[in-house]
Amino acid sequence: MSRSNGVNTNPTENMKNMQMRNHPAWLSALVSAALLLAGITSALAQNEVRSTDLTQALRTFVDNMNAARSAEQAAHSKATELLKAAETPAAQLNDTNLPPQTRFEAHAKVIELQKGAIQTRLDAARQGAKLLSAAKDALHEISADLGGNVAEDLKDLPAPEDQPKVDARISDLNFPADATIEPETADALTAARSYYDMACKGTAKGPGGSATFQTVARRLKAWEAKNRRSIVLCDAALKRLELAAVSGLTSIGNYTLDQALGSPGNFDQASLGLGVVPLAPEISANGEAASPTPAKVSLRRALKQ
Amino acid sequence: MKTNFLMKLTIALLLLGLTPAWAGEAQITAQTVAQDAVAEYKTALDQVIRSAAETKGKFTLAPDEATSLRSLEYELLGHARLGALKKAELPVLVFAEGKPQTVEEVPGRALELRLLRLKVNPWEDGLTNKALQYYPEAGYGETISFTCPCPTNRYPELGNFQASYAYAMALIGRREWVDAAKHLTDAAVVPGGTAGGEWEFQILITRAWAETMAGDFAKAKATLEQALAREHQCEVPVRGRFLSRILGIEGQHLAPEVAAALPNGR
Repeated sequence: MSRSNGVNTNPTENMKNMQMRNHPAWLSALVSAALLLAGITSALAQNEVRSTDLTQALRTFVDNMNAARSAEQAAHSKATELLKAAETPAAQLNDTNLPPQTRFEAHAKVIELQKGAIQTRLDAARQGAKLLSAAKDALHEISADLGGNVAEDLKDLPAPEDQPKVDARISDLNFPADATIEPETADALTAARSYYDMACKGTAKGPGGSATFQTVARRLKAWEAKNRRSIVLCDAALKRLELAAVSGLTSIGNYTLDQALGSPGNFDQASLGLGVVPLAPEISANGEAASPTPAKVSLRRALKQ
Repeated sequence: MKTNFLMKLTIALLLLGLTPAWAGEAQITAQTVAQDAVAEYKTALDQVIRSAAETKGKFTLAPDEATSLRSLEYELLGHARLGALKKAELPVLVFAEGKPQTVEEVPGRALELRLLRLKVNPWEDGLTNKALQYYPEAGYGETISFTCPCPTNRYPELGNFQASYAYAMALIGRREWVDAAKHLTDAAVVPGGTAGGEWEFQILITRAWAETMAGDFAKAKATLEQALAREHQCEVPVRGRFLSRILGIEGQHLAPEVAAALPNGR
């Protein structure tokens, strides 16, 4: 680098230096442009994220509610089918003209079908509990996102019904009798009052904010309670069915023993060998527990057949 | 060349500064526009208060201004009911929170509500149930004890400062400011003065507030100046300091949260 009096006289060098000096401005402009772009993208993205979140929460809520309803309906249909299917074996079960083994098998079928029906309902209710819980979470999310928690503040606001009275008396503010206002001011007051009326109609006092939210939340709560009751009922019904099967085993045991004792020749080893058929004709078709002493048919007699 | 670089750098910095502003503009939400309405209402009400404080005689408000204030109140209440504003974010609403009786009362009512929001009662003089002494004659003699009387509707006898006080406080309860101020004037006239001077001092502050409520800010200023000029063995209460600042009386300091309730520029 040649220098004279501090000035660079080499044209190539000079050009390089100029480029070097220009570089920071170019760089800063580029950086600022990049930051500007990033800022806009970020701002837009932030808005979009918020609306996406809300949309997602709404979708989650609707999907879960629909899934819970579908599961409940499907379970109901399937349970109805199973209970209907149980009617034929139930009829065989009560037909005393049929051989005991057939009746045992029929009763086994009834129990199996009834158990299947109850289990289906129970599974659906359990699944429903999960889905409704997810729907409730989504509803809370939506409520919070739309400022549902703010509604708690509304109870301290001046009451809506008092506001028109204020307006009715605003002209009493010792204004002169001939006091006038500009049409624009009057229009602005009308518009503001309409907006306020609309806001009052769209909201309700107390937590939950909007009336719609309150209704939906109430329905969801009722549904959850119903679902809880279904789970407990189904669980109890299954237990009753097991108990009925056990009591039925006792009764059918007596019956078959009587049958067997009465007609040893008819003793069907195979039927006892099944062993897995804890059946009793006394078990009602609707799954009610059998009477503890319903043994009207002798096991012996049954064993004879 | 150096100038050129500096110019470009300045532009770049300006762009950098504008970036967040522009980015922020995209985030116009219900909450931000509601805050704009709050600011607009506060500015409008501040202007009313400032005008009242600067008026030499009795303050008056144009019907258009009153209507505009009411429109803004409707808007704010609507925003609040739709959840864009929280109760704590709402400014005091002159009409919605109990309509003023007269136009003159509007600025005073705004100030009263602002103080009440801060849990400071402008009518709380600290004299309730207080045992006090006064001199029957000026300058000398034995003091006579008395207890601050309760408000009463019984019209006071002439020269009975205690009865005047009791009646004036009842008038304040009925929001009859002009009559209240008149009887408070009588209540502050104690033959030989009270020991310590707190009675007169507090009563004059209350009278200044009553005059403010009546829209007579000039008279209120004179009364408050008279109160502050008196010898008093108690500190100036917040209600007095707040009113002093409104009326442009120098030398009174306020806590930041109380100062925030002052109109801009006070």
